[in-house]
Amino acid sequence: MPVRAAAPLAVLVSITIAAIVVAQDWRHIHIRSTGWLLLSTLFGIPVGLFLLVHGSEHLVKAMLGSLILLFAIFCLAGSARFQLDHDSRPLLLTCGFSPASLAEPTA
Amino acid sequence: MNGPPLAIYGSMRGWSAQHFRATLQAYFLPASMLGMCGYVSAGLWTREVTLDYLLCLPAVIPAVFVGRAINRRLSTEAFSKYIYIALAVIGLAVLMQSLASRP
Repeated sequence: MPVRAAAPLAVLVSITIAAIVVAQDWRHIHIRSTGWLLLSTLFGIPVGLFLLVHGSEHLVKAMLGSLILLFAIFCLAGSARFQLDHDSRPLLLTCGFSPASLAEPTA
Repeated sequence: MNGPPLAIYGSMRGWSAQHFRATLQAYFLPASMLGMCGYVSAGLWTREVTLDYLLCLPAVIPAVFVGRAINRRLSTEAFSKYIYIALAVIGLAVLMQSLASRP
């Protein structure tokens, strides 16, 4: 299947899954966290487009990949350093912003 | 690339498997709808895409219910461990992908 068909198909499937899960388990949603993540994603999209246009995507991906890998290794090793007792707005905004900044182009 | 940073935040907050699933999907629902608007405006939502989507549904919908049943049986500790393993694999894949696409 060509990417031009696979990409919108994957998003349609994603919307369907998300809609069912939200309808089933809306009581378990952390509404405030979701709102902050979405807000920062909106601001991250233009930054992502800028990075894609200016060709520094691989550098950002290398940094993000390294961070994800290091975080997972520390946590698997039993480190409790990264645990949060309360919501952290700066971290929520960072987590919402960073995936958006690496969003794939839609066309 | 949407998932890993959100999964990191959820695991840092110690969300249960049920909260994790519900909150991430609550994020993905509007985010994916926004993405779909981009595909529609680019003319990529075609008849072929709609037909393939309808073909997928008989597999997708039962899978969501099976996933929910499994999710409800997972303890927070076991779920966190699976998340960390998945993050390690994704982190490594992203790192290797970026090295391979180096100009």
